[in-house]
Amino acid sequence: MMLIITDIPSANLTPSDSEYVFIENDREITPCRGCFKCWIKTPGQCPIDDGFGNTGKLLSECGSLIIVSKLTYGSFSPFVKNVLDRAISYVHPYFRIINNEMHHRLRYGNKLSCSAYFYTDNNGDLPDEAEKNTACRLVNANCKNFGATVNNIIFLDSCERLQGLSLS
Amino acid sequence: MSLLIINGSPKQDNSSSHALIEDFLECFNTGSTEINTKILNIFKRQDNEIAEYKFIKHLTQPSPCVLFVFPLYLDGIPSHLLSFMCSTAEYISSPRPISRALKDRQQSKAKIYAIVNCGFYEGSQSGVALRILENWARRINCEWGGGVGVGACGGYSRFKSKVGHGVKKNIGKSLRRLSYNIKRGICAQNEYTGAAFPRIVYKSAAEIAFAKMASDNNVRL
Repeated sequence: MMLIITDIPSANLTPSDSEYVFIENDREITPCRGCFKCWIKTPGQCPIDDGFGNTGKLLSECGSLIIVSKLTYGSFSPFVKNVLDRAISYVHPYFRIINNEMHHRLRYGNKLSCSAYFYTDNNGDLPDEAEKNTACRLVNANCKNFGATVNNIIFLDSCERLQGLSLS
Repeated sequence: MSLLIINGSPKQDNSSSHALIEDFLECFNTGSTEINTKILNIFKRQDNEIAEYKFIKHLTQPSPCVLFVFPLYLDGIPSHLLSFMCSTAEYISSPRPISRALKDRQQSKAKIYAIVNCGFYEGSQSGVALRILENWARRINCEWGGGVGVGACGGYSRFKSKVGHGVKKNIGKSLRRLSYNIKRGICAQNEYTGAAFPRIVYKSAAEIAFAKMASDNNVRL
């Protein structure tokens, strides 16, 4: 299954997989409050009841994560970042060491690959190389933490360029 | 100069970020120069418009400095703080007179500094978050003054040592350097530090703490 987290309406996107789930910005999302309850009280489930609490579990059921986001200072947009912040239950609170760095252990056994599509707004603020470079570092770091492989990191100069593009 | 400290922790006063702010202020408030310092909490959505206004107003002061202190969330900036950054950038790029003045400012630009509280042992894992903040600072015509990524910060508020001593020895050195730079308006490279104990000790202590919290909820990890 393919999980697509997007800050633009899903109607404008074409997944390459026939089985997919969209998480999109169609209702109010609450920020992560750092309570750790998704680790220590209801493992795998964020306790905030706003319909975005099961992203960690959804990630465990998919082989492919697609992120579609406005490039925001080298980060994902606030909505996409919010969804990902709330998906921390995908990993386990205990730790492992990878390349001499501390990371969380994986909770689930699935193999995940990730692609990120960053688009720029049409307001004239074109991203500079520093922002693109930061975004690549962010995706790589997130994938390391989620035990995922990086499939694609693509930059587009407008969100219209996503229309008709087969997301993989 | 005046310093605005932005606490980006959702836990606000009951957080490692807040404890780091207290330790930073202990380093910053030594010496004879009195510097006007204010702290703003950023989390509750209903308070953010006021916080945004206070931030923008602070930027209009002579030689303004802003210090962001926040927890590392998934290698980046917590989403509520990112929303704040987007809203303030939008405000500054709007055609309001105050915004134009800030956008066109060429001299004594505001300087942005940061301390990132990182739950992993290696403070260097905060590097991407600091870069994001630096990119934002450039977009809003501010100068990036440098940041400190502090590793092994889980439970920082429970560390008994005084800053600069015991487990906070290395952190104290970095916070003193940051204080010095802020007072003199120096822009420096980002630096990374952490609590002065071995990684295995931190890892074990953190895992025991999580296991205890889970057990209190009848959950076995």
